[in-house]
Amino acid sequence: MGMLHNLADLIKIKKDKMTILVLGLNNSGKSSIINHFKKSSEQTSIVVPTVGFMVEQFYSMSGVSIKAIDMSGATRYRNLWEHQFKNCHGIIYVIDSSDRMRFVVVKDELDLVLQHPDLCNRIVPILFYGNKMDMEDSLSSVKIAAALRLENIKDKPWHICSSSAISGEGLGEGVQWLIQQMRFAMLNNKNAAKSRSKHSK
Amino acid sequence: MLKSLAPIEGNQQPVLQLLWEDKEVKFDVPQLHKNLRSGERVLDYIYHIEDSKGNPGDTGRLMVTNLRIIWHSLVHKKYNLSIGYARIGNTNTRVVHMHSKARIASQALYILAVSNETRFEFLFTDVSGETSRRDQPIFASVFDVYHLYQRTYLYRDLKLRGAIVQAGQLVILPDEEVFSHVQGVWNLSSDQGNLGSFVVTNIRLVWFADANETFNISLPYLQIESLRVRESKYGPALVIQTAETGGGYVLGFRVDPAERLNELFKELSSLHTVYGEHPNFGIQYNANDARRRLEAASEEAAQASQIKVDNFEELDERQEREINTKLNSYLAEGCLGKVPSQGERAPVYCKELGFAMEPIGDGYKLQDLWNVMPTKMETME
Repeated sequence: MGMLHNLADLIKIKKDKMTILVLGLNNSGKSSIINHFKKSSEQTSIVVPTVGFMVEQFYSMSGVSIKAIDMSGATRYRNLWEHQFKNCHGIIYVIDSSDRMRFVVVKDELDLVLQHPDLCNRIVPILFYGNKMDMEDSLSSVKIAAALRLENIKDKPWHICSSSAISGEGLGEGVQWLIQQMRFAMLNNKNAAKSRSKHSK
Repeated sequence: MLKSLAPIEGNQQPVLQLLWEDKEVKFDVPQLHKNLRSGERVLDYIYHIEDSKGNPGDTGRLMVTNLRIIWHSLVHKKYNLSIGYARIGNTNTRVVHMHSKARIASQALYILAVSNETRFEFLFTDVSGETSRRDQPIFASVFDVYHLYQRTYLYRDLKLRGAIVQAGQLVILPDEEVFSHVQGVWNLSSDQGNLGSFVVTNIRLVWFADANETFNISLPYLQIESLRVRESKYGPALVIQTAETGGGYVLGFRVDPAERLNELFKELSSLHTVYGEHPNFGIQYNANDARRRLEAASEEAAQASQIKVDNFEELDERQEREINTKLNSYLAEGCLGKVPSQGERAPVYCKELGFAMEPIGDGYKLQDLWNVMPTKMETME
């Protein structure tokens, strides 16, 4: 009986819509990564800096419908990020692994995201892409994790992988992890809600 | 993994919820007090209040939000009412004598509201029965928030030809952030077009003419129904449809080149969407702070009414009451020829007076001789 329940839950979740927020500094490759996930007929050959934000809708292989909000990384649009935190289930944080100069900025912005009241008490999985791995002077994912002190993130599941938005290398692996984590988080939330409602009765 | 089968939708704009909360008077809407609008916040609760006109005998709660006043009965779930600030014509407080409880005088809030050409009178009476509440300003938050509401018009409503631009710069509201400033925007409202600038902020879109800055429009996102780029007889144009409450205008603007127009369009639609999720109605009020301020003010007033000896300085006005004594002695000195050694003294230019004069002898200041009439001796040093 319990098994059946779990199965039913899983099927229900498959119909659920998940919202992913794509964050990162300007020129880190957010739109290029989103572009790579699109059907080949809809891909654009030239990616221009995003203004404000763009919303893209996908179906993953496993039948999950995913809404990706591609936020602009330009300085003046970064304060738009926080308005989307409330409704998102997962975050993709894109880092330009060859841009060592701005690692401090990456760290600052990441801290702001993590400390935001809409996120700090929720379990929201965060996927880090060390993008532009094909560049000569790019840092490895381990080094990026150390530079950003990712080990200090204790309350949220996170994962880092190197990627290249041009060739598409490493992108699939990361997203697979993210979807799995979002499912876990949703299941947990549902169970928590269930037990809460039982208690209230 | 994520190869899409089909994109479901593009960058579609959600239609903003029409803002009715502050513009209507409503009665007995189910669960009214639990369904607040996004961005609407309850700024103060006032307990033990009775709606003496509509529901006498029911004790209830008054909620002061940033858009309206809500009263709901705590006895019967279905009785409630909502008064938008825009519909309020007149408010004051009075002392009423409650009919039931042995004619105890208690404070009441009187509101006159006009909606759909119907006049509504409301009387919210304090039924706590506490005599101490009679003298306290229990309805102060209602008045404060209502005043704030009236002063923050620009956050919520379309304004044409307002004094919003000074010396080519937009006067920024509190909590407003400017996102971009676009020059060379043609307003296509007239046939020849008007050249001006856009200022895009997180609350509104402002256009003003370069030649005449009083020719302007301040359009909050709240009043924008739809945004689109459309072909017009002047070429591609940004077309903004304002909401019904914003006059239902269709505004056309032309920006060259087309890339810039598209960028502006994307920026505006992003900000419009974000605003729809987190509207800012511009009213910042903290009831506890206000109460503390009120207490401090009343304490100060109480102190001021008590005369304390140390607070006053004793002034000896005897000298000032007479005609300048120093001048007299100076004149006397001159007559007696007390300083014959100097003889005829050469005049010098005095900067303070602006003309030449006899140099002043020792022991005198210009001020002593100039102030002939008794004054408080506070003129130039």
